[in-house]
Amino acid sequence: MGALSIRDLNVWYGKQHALKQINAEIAQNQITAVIGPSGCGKSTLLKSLNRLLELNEQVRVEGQVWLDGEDIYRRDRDVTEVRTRIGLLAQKPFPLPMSIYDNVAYGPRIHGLARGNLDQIVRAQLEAVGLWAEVRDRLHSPATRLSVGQQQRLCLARTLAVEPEVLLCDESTASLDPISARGIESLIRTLRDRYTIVLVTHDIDQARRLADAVLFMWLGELVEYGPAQRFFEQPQEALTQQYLTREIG
Amino acid sequence: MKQVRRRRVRRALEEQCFLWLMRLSLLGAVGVLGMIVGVICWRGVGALSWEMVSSLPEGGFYLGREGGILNALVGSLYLACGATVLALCLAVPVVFYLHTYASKGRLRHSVRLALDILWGIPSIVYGAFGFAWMVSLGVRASLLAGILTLALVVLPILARTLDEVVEMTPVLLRESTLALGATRLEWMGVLLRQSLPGLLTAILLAFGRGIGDAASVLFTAGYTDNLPDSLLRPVASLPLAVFFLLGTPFPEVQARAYAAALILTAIVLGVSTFAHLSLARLGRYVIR
Amino acid sequence: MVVVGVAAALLLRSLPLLSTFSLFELWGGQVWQPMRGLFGYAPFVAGSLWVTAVAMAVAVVPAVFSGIYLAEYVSERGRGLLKPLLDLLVGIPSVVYGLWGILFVVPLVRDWIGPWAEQTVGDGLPFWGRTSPSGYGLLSAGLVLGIMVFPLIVAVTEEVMRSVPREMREALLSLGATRWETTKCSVRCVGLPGILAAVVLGFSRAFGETLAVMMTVGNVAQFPSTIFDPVYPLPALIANNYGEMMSVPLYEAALMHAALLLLGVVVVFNVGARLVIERLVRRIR
Repeated sequence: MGALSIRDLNVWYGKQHALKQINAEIAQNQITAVIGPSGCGKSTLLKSLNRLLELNEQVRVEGQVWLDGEDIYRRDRDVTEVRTRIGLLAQKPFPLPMSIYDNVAYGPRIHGLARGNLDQIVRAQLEAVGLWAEVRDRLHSPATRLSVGQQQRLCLARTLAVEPEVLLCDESTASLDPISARGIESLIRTLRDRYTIVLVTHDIDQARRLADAVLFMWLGELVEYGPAQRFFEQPQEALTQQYLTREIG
Repeated sequence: MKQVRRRRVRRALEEQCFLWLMRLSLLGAVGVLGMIVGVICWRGVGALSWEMVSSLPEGGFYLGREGGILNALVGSLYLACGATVLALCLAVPVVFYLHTYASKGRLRHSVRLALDILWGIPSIVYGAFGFAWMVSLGVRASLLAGILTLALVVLPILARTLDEVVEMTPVLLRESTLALGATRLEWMGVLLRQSLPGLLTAILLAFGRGIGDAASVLFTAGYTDNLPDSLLRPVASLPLAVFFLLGTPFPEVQARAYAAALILTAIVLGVSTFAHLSLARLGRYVIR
Repeated sequence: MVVVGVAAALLLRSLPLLSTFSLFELWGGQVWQPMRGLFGYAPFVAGSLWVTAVAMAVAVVPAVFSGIYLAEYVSERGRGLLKPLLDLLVGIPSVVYGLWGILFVVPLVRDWIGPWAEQTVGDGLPFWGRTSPSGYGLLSAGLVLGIMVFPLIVAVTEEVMRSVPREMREALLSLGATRWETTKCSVRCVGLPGILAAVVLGFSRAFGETLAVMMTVGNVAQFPSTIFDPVYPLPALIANNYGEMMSVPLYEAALMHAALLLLGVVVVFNVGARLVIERLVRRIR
C-alpha cells in the first residue's frame, strides 16, 4: 500500500515551466529523499503529490501520479480522499488554533474514523510521536503554547491520526533547532515500516542519514534517482557528483 | 471503511449545499445592487438635461418650471472639498505622528479605538452636535458650519484608512531608512512617499462619503437656491436636493430628483473608480 | 476625547429637558406631543431597534456567506472584478438607496409582498398580519437598509477571511478536509472576531442611518404590531423636526436628547462588541 508512480509530470507557474517531464517510482515502506538546491522544484514536486498545488490558481499540472494503480489526477477523483491517503508535514510547524487534543482529533472527527474512542486515538498518536508524557495533563490548553519542536511533533501526530498511507515531509526539520530536528528525524525513521515517506531536504547529510532512495532535482528536471547507497557512492551523472561534493548548488 | 465512504459522500453533499447557498446570496445581492444603479439610471436619464446641471433653480422650479440644480452641485462640491481638506489637515499629522514618534503601541491603540468609535457614530448625531454649537454661538446655517461638521464625519474615515495604509509599510523599510542615519523627520518623508497612493485613495474615499452625506449638513449648511458666495451663507447640497425635490407632489419635479440622484451617483462612482485606477498606477513605486 | 466632547455638547443642550423630566419619564414615556410638553422616546427607540433588526435579519447571513465565498472560492480574476464593484457600492449615498426604496421596494411591498402575506400566512405568523396599505413601513425600510449595509459587511468579511494564514488552509486540506470544512474551521478559529466586527459595523451604520430610512419607513410614532406597520426611528425624528424646533419650548432640547440617545446606543454597542471581540481573540490565541 502506498506506492507512488510519477509519470510525465509537468508543472507550470503561469509561463514558468517549474517541473519538466518528471518520471519516477517511489517504493512503499521506504524513505525517499528529494534533494537539490533551493528553487529547483523540490517542494513543487512534493505538493503535486497530494494535489495541494491546485490552491495556486496560476498553476497548471499535466501528467499523472499513480497511487496504488490509480491516477490521483483523474478527472473524477475525489481530492479529499487523495489528501487523506497522502498526508503532508509542512516546513514550518503550524498547529491549528485550537487545543492540543482537538489538533489531533480534528482529522478523525471529520472523517468519522472514531466513534467513541477518540480519546484512545489521540493518546495513541501522541504517544507515537513521544509527546504524550509532556502534554498529558494539559491536553486542552492551546497548541500554540508548545515549543516549536513540540509543535512539529504535534503536527506529525495530527497528520498520522487520519491514517494516511504516504507521508510527505517538506523540509520538516529546517525551521527547528538541532535537537528537535534530530527528534523528528528519528521519529521519521521509526515510521518507515508503516508508511511510504517522501522527504524533501536541502541537507545532503540528512538524506544520507535517512534515505533509502534519492531523487536529485536541478532546475525543474529530475537529474538522477536510485537507491541511496548507489546514489551516494557511485553517482551516475556529473551534475550529481558536483552537487554532492558541494561544487555547485 | 464503508462508514467512512458514506460519510465522505455526506461531506461532499454538505459542501455543495453551502456552495450553492453562498453563490445564491452573492448572485442575489449583486443582482439587487446592479438593479439599484439600473433603476436610478433608467429613471434619471429621462429628466437629465444640460439645463439641469448648468442653471440655477428659477422661480417656480419646484412647481415644474425652468431651472436646474447647479446650486446644489456647486454647494456639494464646496462642502465635500472643504471638509476633506480640513479633515486631511488634521488626519495626516496625527497618523504620521503616531507612526513615527509614538511607536509604543498604547497610544496608537487607544487612538485607533477612538477613531473606530467615531466612525460608528451616525452622521445625524454630528449634525445635531454642529447645530448645538451653532445655537450656542448664535450663528445661522452656513457653508462654514457645514464644512466643519462634515469634516468631523469624514475625519475618522480618512484617519483610519490612512492609518491602515501606513501600517502596511514594511518594518524593513523603516529599519533600513533609520539605519542610513535618517532622522525621524526624514523617515516621515520616506513614509509619506511610500503611502502616497494609499493617501490618495483615502482622500477620494472620504470625498465620496462627504459628498453623499446628507444628515450632517441638513441642520448645519441649510439650503438655498443661490450659489454660495460667502462662507457664512447657507449652501445647497445634492443629497438634500434629491430629498426636497422628491418631497414635492409633482411627477415632473420628482423626475428631477431622479436626475439629481443620477448625477450624485455618477460623481461618487466616478471618484471611486478613479481611486481604484490611480491606486493601480501609483502603486508601482511602492515597496510591498 | 471627541466622543466625550460631542456627548457633552449634546448633554448641555438637552439639560433644559432633563431638568424638567426624569430619565424614566423620558425613556419610558410613550406619548410624543411637544405642543403639550410631552416627550416620550419609547416608540422612537423601539422604531429604531425594529428597523435595524429587520435590516440585520435581511443582510447578515447572505452578506457573511458572500464574503466567505468571495474570499475562499472565487478565482483571483473574479475577485479583481467583484471587489472594486463592492467598494463602489459601499460608496453610493444613502439618498440614492432611499430613492430606490421609494421607486422599487415600497411598490414591491405594497403590491406583492403585502397581499401575498395577507393571503397565505396572514395572522398565522406573529408580525405578518397586514395593516398598512401604503407600503411605507418597517419591512420596506428594513429591506432598503439591509441592502445598504450588505456591501459593507461583505467587504469586511472578505478581508477578514483573506487574512487567514495560507499555512492553515494547507494544513487542513492535507488532512483531507473539504474546502467547506476548511472554511468552517477558519471561520471558527480565526475569522469569528473579524466577522463579528463586520456585523457591528453594519449595525452602527443601519442604526444611525437617516435619509434612506426616513424616506421609506412611514414616520408614524408607534409600536409596530406587524412588520408592515410604519414606525418612526430616532434619526428620522431628529431630521424631520429640525425646522420647527425653535418655536416650541423644550423642543430643541428634546431633539438634542434624541441625538444623545442615538449616540449612547451606538457607542455602548460598539464598545460592548469590542470587548466581546477582544475576549474571543484572547481565547483563540
